[in-house]
Amino acid sequence: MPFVDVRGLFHRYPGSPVHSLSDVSFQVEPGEYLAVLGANGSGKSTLVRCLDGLAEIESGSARVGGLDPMNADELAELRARTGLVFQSPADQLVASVVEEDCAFGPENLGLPREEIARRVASALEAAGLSAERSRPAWALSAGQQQRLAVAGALALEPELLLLDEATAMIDPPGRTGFLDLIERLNSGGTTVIHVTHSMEEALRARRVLVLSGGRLSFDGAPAELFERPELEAWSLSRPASLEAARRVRVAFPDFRPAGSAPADFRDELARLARIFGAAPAVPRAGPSNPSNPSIPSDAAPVDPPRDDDALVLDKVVHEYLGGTELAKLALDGASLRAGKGELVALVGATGSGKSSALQHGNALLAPSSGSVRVLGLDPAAKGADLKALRSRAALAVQRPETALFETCVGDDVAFGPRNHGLRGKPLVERVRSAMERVKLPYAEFRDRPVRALSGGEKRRAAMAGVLALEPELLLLDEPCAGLDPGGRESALALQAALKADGRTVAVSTHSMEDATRADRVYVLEKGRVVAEGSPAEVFLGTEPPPGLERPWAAEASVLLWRAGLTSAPGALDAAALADEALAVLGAPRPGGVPRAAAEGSP
Amino acid sequence: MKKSVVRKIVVAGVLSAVAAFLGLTRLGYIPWFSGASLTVMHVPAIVGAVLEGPVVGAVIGLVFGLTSLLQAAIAPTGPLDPAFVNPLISVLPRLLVGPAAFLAYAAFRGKLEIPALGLSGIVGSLVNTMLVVGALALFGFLTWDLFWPIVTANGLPEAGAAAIVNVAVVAAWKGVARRGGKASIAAEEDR
Amino acid sequence: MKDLEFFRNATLGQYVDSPSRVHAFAPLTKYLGLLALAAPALASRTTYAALAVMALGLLVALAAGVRPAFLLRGLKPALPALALIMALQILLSWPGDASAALLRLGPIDVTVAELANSARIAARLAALMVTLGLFTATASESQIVHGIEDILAPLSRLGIPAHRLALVVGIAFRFIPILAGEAELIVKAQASRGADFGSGTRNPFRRVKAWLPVLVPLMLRALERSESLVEAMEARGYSGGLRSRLASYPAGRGEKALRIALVLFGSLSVFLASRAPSPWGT
Repeated sequence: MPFVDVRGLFHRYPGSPVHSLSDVSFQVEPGEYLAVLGANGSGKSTLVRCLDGLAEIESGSARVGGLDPMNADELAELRARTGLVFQSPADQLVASVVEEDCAFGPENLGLPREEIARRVASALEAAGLSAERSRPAWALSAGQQQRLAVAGALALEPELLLLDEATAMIDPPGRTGFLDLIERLNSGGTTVIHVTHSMEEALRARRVLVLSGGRLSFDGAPAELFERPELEAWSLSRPASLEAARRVRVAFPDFRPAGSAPADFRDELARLARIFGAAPAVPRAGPSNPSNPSIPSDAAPVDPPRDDDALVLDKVVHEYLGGTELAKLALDGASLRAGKGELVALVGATGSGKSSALQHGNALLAPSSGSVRVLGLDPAAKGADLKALRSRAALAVQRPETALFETCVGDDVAFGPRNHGLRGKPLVERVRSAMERVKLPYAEFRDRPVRALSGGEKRRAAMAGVLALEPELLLLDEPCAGLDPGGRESALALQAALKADGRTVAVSTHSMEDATRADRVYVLEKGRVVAEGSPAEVFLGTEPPPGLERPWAAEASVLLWRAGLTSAPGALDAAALADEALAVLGAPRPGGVPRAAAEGSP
Repeated sequence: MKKSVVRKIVVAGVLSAVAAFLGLTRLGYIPWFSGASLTVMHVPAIVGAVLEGPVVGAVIGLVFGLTSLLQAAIAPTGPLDPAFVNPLISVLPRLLVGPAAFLAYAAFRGKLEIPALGLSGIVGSLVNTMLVVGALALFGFLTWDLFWPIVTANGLPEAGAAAIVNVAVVAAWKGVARRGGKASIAAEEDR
Repeated sequence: MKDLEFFRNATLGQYVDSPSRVHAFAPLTKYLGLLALAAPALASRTTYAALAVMALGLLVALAAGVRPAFLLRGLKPALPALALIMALQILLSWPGDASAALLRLGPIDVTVAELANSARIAARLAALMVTLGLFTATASESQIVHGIEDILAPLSRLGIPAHRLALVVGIAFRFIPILAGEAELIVKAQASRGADFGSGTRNPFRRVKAWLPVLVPLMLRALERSESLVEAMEARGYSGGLRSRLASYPAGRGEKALRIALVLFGSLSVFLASRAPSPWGT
């Protein structure tokens, strides 16, 4: 008997003319690990809310362990057997102290104190948070907070764990720890339904559902999904591992790596290379072409600033909350530059100083020591017109959509230029072109209430508000965080277009894949720049950038070189990696392939 | 949105936090002509009352009042702060802000949604000013001659600010259209 | 820009972690102690009574390992305020003031009662500062919340869901740092788009207008986040009903006796304070 049984489910938000879920049916057996994919607004979150009785089912039925979420009496028991983890770590913590928050669920069940204590201890142990039990919950990192949210769910001893984009707001190390925890729980027998935007995470599941416009468009194995031609229409993308293998398969149809790890790609290539007898490249003795990019923090910058640089931070130290117990060095001697017309990426864990560095770029922060030059000006100089500077060097803060405040989209976009005195036709033109640029047509969206926009549209409206300043330097703080693959692709395209205009763009990101598109990458750790250089220098060195992992394709490319298959690692994305692999196999160019040889292979 | 006890509790807690936060950081004090700042810390109580009912409004007022008492006692900043350690001055008047705003809103809500929101902001705010100033006079921190001057100089602009914030927040939250649903930038197109 | 660091001020009082006997008391006992000292401080009609309460509070603070200077640190920033109060007391004439005038400067009388009143206000403020500071230094946030639950427990037996009020206060505590983060982000976003928060203008109307882009999204964000929290709490099985609690504070016989003593002390001292002669001499 299936543990989750959904049949002909319809859902509609009050006042909405369209269904957010239409005729969705699927079953989940106990112990399954199911991923749910789909664009922003496709109904994924609504689906898990229906399962947990948070959203009302219009027609059709849903059963969890045989219990009906629409039945008030059964709902209490259903929730006692189901854990739900949401996207935002901070929004789901109820109590100030870690163990008290973990106890919230069992307290609601009215369990005796001893039983609560036992469950809390074992849940915190499972989530690796035993040492933090009496710490304030807000003092945990986002990754720890999210594991605490899981611990809070575990304390209910649930049979089903629902994850609603639970990894969207944590950094890559935090994400790995979180996913490992989920996998352990799943192998212990817990059923997992994981709503996610990450294609790599979907690969961890054994089965994937895809929602598109509220309808169930796909139900099957991940490997099968990523072969489907509709991927782009569903606003999904192919993980680098599958994309690279697929490209190689065009010439060598039996190129089938055993798994999605970079090592699997290398092993499969080595196997085929033996069959086709391609001569292995001779590995160089020492470090290959890129030297290890790690630099000691007190060394002179690798790349000295130039006079026409749009942004220069020179040995900047910034103390946050100076003079209080919470004082912390957000930047500790960081030097970086963005040349005119360049696209520069800042990477590093949460709290490494990326946001602080960007905020020095429009003089929201002033250095405690060191110096800053923005568009040739010193913001610390007496009489510097910071307001004018901020319109030339514009910052889009993290989650900029949270600061939208006007009722209508058009007015919010106009806020910046209005502050700078623009009125009448020129103002309208500014707003119109900024909105068109983020694909929110002016005529259609001018009067649209901000609150009625989807999450992705809000992000674009907020970006338009920054673009309307027509800045020369754009400082974008995690512009792709929380976007679906389609939204992310258009955000990256926008960055490229801004660069093509001759504007300078400095962007912070948690995605190493995004960083490979920059002209230069700075790796920050604890407020210092610990590595810098072109994406190839940073990601294809003998060591991965400190504290980070390489992009998948770069890691595979380095492994190919280590195995002696190539003479130097050179691929930063799936297409380049496939070219490398094809070259190894003796196919000179992608497309021009020894198909006959491939087909004639055993 | 379902009306639920859980939502009432959470909205009361969160808006109490807003009131306390505005007070603690001085973000809720807006410099004004009279020298005494305008305060908007009572606005969360008004918004809470309008959205979730008079009890929620009263609870937010209670927490706001207790915060201002604690702040006056632990970290006083203004000349009248020592008066606010008296709960009859700092807490009791604030309990009534939310319920008064709710009554004003309940009388006109529905068709006249926007005016009802504005009125509830004004009423809630004036109840706050008049009761607090009255209590200050009653306990001898001010003389009664100053009652009307203060209510006029600070109470009226505070009421105006409360009305504007209340309308902006609640209308956006409930999706009530203002200005006929047109963006004000539309007017710029003809200039 | 220090004024963008909202975490700087987002605390009310400060918990001082110390292994003292006072810290080990149950929240209920601490609340009773707070009331037993704060009530007479408020009711005190003489400077001496207020000073006596303050001295008692400082003694307890010493026992709790809290430095007296830590509790009185608020007095220094309050000095201008106190000076202004004294000036007001002295400059204004008070009906019913029949005490002797010490000094006459034109229309201004400096009377005995005015001076006594000023001293009393200052002493009372210091006494309350010590008492409340002592409470927040010895009771952590979660104890403050649990204490509300325990004090109001008798009401629950009457069918009034008192634990909900404790939950409201707990959520408020939880959200203050969250709001500090939100406010910081919002102010930075608006400043980046040319908002100047009235610093560039002397026109108060424009200043008020400049605050709207911060206040309105802050409250909307607070409401949005409360929606998420409602869902998270419901998903964890909360529906507003009675619940059990992990934290427990068993009180020994000594602590129970102390509670009775505190109630008696509080009532008695308020009674005595209210019978003391008023400084106005009426």
